[in-house]
Amino acid sequence: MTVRQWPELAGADVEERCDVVVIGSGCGGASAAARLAEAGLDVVIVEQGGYYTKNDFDQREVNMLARIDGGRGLHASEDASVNLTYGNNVGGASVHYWADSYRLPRDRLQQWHSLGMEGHDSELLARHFTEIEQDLNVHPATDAYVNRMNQLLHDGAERLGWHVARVPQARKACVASGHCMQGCAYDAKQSQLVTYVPRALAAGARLYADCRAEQLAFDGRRAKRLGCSILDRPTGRSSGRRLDIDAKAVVVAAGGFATPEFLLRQRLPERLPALGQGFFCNPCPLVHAIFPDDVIQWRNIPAAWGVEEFRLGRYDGPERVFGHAEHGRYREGGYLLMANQLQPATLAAILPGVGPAHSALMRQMPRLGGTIAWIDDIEPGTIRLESGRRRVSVPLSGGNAERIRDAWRKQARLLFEVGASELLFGDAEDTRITRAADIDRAVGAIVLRPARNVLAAPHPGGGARMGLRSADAVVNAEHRVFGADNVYVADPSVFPSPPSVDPSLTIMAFSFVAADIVRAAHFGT
Amino acid sequence: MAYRALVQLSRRSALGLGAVGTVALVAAGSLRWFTHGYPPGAQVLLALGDKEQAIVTSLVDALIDGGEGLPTADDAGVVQRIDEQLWGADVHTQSDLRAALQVVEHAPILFGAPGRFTSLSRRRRVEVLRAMLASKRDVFVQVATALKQLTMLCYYSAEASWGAIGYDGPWIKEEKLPPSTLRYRSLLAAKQRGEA
Ligand SMILES: Cc1cc2nc3c(=O)[nH]c(=O)nc-3n(C[C@H](O)[C@H](O)[C@H](O)COP(=O)(O)OP(=O)(O)OC[C@H]3O[C@@H](n4cnc5c(N)ncnc54)[C@H](O)[C@@H]3O)c2cc1C
Repeated sequence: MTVRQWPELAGADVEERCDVVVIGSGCGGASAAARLAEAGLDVVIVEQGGYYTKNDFDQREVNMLARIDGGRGLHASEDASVNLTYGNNVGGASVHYWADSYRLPRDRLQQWHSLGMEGHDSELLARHFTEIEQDLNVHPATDAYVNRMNQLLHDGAERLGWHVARVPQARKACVASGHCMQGCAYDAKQSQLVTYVPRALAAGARLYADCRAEQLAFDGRRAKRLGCSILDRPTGRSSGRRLDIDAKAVVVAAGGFATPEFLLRQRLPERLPALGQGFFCNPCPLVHAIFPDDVIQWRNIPAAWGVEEFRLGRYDGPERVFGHAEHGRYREGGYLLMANQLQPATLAAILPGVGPAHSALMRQMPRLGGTIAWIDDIEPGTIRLESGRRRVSVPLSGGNAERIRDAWRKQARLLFEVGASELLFGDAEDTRITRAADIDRAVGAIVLRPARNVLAAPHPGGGARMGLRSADAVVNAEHRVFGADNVYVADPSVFPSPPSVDPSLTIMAFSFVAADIVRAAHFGT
Repeated sequence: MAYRALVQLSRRSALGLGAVGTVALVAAGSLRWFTHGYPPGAQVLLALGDKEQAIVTSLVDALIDGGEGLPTADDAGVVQRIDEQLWGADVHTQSDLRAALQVVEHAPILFGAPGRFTSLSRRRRVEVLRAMLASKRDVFVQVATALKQLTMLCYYSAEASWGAIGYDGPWIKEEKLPPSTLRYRSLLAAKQRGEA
């Protein structure tokens, strides 16, 4: 098993040679690497974050943000409309994810085909989903995983007649500590760190942690060499040492934010106007609720029950499709709704108020619960470079705004239904209500503008979308970057629109497809 | 999910202050900034300069309530924790945060409080922060939100704050410091010894 990492790695420049180099070790990269290595190919994985295991995880928020979160959790979109949450470590965002593991719904796969995606048929994906579910021990959340906040979510949804279902979970012998977002100290959550990364290594892949992939050198349409900086882990800055890798094929799996950024930094053989366009991230409006009794939302798993009633947007007339203007009048929906889970420092960061008003809320933490929704974006955002800096832009207007407001309304209804005494929307004006009769007025009055609302962006993708032509897509149905012979993308950047459910399983299934294509195209096996 | 918004104070958003705001800030900045120095900070720190330390100290004092079982910001070591976050941040985030501190220091005049933020009474500072959070101009909301979030993150990650809020703490009892904290602390210790 070969893992090379800081500080040993920062001692000298390194040269490597392999069949396939995979950039990134998250859901997209690790699953592709495992599949390729197990097929007998010589694989190198390059990961800019550190290699940490359960023995490093101490469940303290700020310590773990420094270890495993991109930008230490401090990054936002360019106007601070949404907070960018992503991984920066071996295993990527799966190390701090919630382990909700949905298959891509059939209706969304059909939509993707109608948007110009070829291949990836439902039978093929179903086979991959089945395999991945076995590998990650995916199973519906059992009663033992249901904390009080999830029970309230379930009860509220049932009373309102909304479809609520157990969330499929990638876990084994979960101890229910509630520290999923700080990295699982028990190896119970089936992140890439304990599944496809070790599988890839066992099959002979070599992992270089603390190495940032920077430059692809092309010979015509073929990428020949990948240049990387070896990083100094404590600062995340270059150590001055280089890792250079000669590879026959390159798989870019740097995640929904970093893959478009990486490609934008290259001199690609062909101009790709769609690169960085069509971005989505599932902005997440949330509602805090004060209950008469303790809910202790910070223990057990984050999401045992999920409200699926509103997954698809409902319109009078034709349904609206991501990035397309024509549609009927919006009625409701276009999001999943879950119980929320936050440890104290993160909760404190997003609660409204200053001074005594803020600490009064924190003192009620045991009774403070709440819900969160992932909006299936409908208005595309962008990723671009500005003076060398990555800029992410996420519109809070139009169809996104309609969905965000509706998600606030529905969360508020549910929370009052199960006895919340006061709701807080977490906005800059600190909107609070104590009666269901005030929901429409209050939500209608919330100012939805940059920095005024708490919205995370946990599921980035779309910035290197798959399609038929380089005029409006970045990769073809084989995940290959237009104009390049041997550069592939295997992460949610290729999705033509948001998947309408948590994306991890779909990312892995697509990576399996990509890996098989790379193997067949370049190694004839 | 985690949502620690932090500001990306772009040039564009700074211009979002509008002509009047920009002129006022520049005026306040140049008059006071260059004519009045800031005394050496009370603490030896790595990332925050003297002026920045003064701003952060005033800010934290206004944001953190303490009392009734909650530690003071001093006891929770919030200023040093913020210094560590700034030290560990990437260069872009660092420059955004530094710019945000300058805005806070020189913006009070735009909210009816003549004088630098660091020269105001606690009551006035709280008023200014509230006014910034409720401002019609996005840039002020952005700045105040970012700094508030960073402060709260640092304060409530201190174990001393957990008892009063009913938090029973992590199940892993032993704290394991990340490489960035170990480096920060060793550099800080060297500086305190006068070695750097
Ligand atoms: C708090 C949170 C909770 C979530 N919960 C769920 C959930 O319950 N279910 C679900 O399905 N999804 C969930 N998600 C989303 C899910 O975790 C991600 O969509 C998924 O893990 C992304 O995988 P990825 O491989 O595309 O990207 P990543 O996991 O981000 O992996 C990309 C990797 O590439 C590395 N990298 C980037 N640039 C470079 C470079 N230049 N050189 C070398 N390496 C580089 C990064 O450090 C990173 O490790 C959650 C996300 C968050 C933030």
